[in-house]
Amino acid sequence: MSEEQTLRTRRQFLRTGVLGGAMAWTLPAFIEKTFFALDAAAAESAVQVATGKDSPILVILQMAGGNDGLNMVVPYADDAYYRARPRIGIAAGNVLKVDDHVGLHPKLKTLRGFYDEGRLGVIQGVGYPNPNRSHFRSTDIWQTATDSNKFANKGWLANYFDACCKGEDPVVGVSIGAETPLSFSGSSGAGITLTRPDQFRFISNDPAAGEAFADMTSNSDNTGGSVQSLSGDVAQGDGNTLDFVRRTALDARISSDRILEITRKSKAPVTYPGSRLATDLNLVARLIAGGLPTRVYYVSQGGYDTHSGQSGTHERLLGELDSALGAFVADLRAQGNLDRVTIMTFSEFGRRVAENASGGTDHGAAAPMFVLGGKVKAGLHGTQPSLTELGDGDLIYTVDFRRVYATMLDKWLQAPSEAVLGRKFPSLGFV
Amino acid sequence: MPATNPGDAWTPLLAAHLVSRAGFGGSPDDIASLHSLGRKAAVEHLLAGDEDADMFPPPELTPVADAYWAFRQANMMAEGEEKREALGDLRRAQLDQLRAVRAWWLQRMRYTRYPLREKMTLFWHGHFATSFDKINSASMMYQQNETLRNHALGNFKSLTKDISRDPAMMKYLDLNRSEARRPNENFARELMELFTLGEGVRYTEVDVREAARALTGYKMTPASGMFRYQSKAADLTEKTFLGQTGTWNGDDVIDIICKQPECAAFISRKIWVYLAGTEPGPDLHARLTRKLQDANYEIKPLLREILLSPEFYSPEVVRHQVKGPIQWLVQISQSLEAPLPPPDSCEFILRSMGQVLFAPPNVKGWAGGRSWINGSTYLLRCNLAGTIVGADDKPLQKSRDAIPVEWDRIAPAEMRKNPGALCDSLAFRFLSVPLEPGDRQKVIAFLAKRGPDISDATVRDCAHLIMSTPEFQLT
Repeated sequence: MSEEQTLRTRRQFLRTGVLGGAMAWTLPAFIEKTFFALDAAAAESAVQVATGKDSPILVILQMAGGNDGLNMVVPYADDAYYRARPRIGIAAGNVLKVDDHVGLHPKLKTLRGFYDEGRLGVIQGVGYPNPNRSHFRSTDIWQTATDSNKFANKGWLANYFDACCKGEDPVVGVSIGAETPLSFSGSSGAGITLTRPDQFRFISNDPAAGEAFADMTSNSDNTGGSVQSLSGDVAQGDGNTLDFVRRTALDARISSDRILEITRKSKAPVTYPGSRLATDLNLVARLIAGGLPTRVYYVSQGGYDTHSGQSGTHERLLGELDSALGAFVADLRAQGNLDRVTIMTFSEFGRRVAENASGGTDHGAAAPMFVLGGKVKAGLHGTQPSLTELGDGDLIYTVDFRRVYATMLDKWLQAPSEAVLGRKFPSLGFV
Repeated sequence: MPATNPGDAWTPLLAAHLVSRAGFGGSPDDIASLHSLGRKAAVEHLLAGDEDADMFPPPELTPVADAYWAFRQANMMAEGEEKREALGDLRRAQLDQLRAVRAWWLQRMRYTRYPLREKMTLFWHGHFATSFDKINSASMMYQQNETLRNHALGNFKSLTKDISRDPAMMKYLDLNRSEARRPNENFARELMELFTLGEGVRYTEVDVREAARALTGYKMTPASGMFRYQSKAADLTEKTFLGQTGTWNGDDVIDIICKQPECAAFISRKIWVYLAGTEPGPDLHARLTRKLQDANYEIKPLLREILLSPEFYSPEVVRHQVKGPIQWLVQISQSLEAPLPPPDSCEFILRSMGQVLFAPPNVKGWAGGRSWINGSTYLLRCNLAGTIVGADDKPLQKSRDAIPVEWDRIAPAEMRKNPGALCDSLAFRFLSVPLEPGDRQKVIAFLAKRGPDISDATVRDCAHLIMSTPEFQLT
């Protein structure tokens, strides 16, 4: 089955679902209309609506576990920093200073170079009101961009995909890793997750089995059948699990051939370090080089939950981050794509200002974010929070993280942030 | 529930449902014999179990004390290549032993005569999630596993208290490093957020800090790896926790938490979701919560209530749960009436699919449900199924042998004369329900393409196709 046919099947599948009313996911009305229009006109050219090959790209890098922002961007000129952290504070002499007050962790040498080149922006004091100190809840808040007392099942990037990328190409969002981040979840059909591209296809000795598999996963007749008839019309907000699995199977089938093709052809022009993060960023660079119409890539680095013996662990993690980003930026530069890409880091929270008895730090609140790319306005943005006026022992945020998202949407992705985030947040000046 | 519920009739499908949720599935014969018992007796059979204590002798493990002294000796060596090698050898030895524990547990899940206990042990492992990555001791992980198994259908309060004294947990959440002068909040926070009440339910940040003060003095004797209460590290002063003031210790904190109805609600919901795969409605949830409270946190009465409830057999529940990787793997082996793949294959399969025993992604355990399925893991599941049955010559990893399946038993010669019957028989074996009509046609067309004589290889590839359907990912 050709790719064109598959895309058509997918459209039929979505449409049948809408009309059948037994949908796993609810399509917003305008998308529904789009599908009717597409179907009527059979307009194959409309497949890549907002996903042109010259469009800006956002790469989101999650530092999971709660990164200690104070030891990443160190307020070395503030005595309160050293008073609070007699054991794990970073000596002023070792800090890679960027101005008279703050500097970067000594392991961030490459990033410091990007700062000097005018490619790295540091947004200080990012957080949100009434901070939550649970990893999971706070991660959810960042991923859904809600107020800390509101719950949502749909991610902020899923909102972006649905509002601004009305095509039906699921690769508009690509997350690298085993798990789909919540920020991608709940979209009406965009966003895929993959780990190893060479395995992102159906494998069998017999090509006939591959064809049968393609037919079965693209089967638009399968909208009501034995399993579903058992369940009758289950009108649940989240839809039925079988529909969800079917849609996922179909999306994977559609995307797999192209991704495989691209990654087979493209080779990295630079050497990447061996870390998981570097491997994942290398894959992102391959997909960018191959012209996949993706607007948002998502990668993740874990291990930042440093409750005890923090110094060595944190140093290793930041070293990995620095070398991985170094290779990635060099790669994009060699491709000539650096100006199309902005990288944004985030973590669910920073850590407590005072160290604990185990040479570590407990969960905290506000922390800095990095933005990096060809078009970033380098330098320090926002205000460093006070180290003495604290909220429950933690830094009080000066910049709401949704202002960072809004800026990325409005100024970088050229998307209406209000429609995505549900209200207007003032922009920042980093793009 | 209305009387028209299709779950009222006790069918082979529902027996298959029960054995796959309260265990890891079974062969068509297993399902038939459970079906013949009738629903009530089948549930009692699963609740009772009949396993001999010595049926699964554990692998040989270096005792914690010996490992401790060996590490200590290596650590005292002068810095350099030799020391690095010595430490590396010790770590590798621990990892090898952990792999043996994993293989042992998987075998136990596969062959146990008390599947519900293993299923619940797996639940508690995800609930009181602890990862070897921070523990580096196979013995400690095994010890925790035995604690979870001993209490798996026992009492939640006792289990939680034992877990607070469990060396692996103490190490994982830094409880052994928490001292009166500077309490470490890690365990206290997760105790409420993940283990008993749910995020932000009933407690405040102040309660976290007060509980952390109460949960001090929990130490471990390094040489034996045994729990030891050290009163001089404990904060014995007054605390106000969840509105109650006293000189509370760690057990008091757990008792106070368990008095909150929110705790019974949290645990009963989580067990329901684990077994049923859906959210309980408000009436059902209230019923289950009351059951757990009335039984003073005994788990077995709650399980009986769940497994006999009409809701458990409702169309919203049956065939609507995504199989976790372990369920997927053990159930394949059950359905094919074949052994599990060799231990290193199981290790590879479960690692690629994202569920490695003794290595949950974080303290919240595995998210489960739909999070198991995305484009990547979907295709991976298809391909791993192909590797397991041998439908792929160039498997995902070298030297992966297919498991030995008696295809002539699964599809006898007589059945092979009728492709429709063959297709239906395989569908029941793998799905408990018929294939979608469209899929059925395609499988039959595939059989036709392979020629008039249906060989073992054709049956195998046909099984692979059915195992690659969206339906197969559900149970």
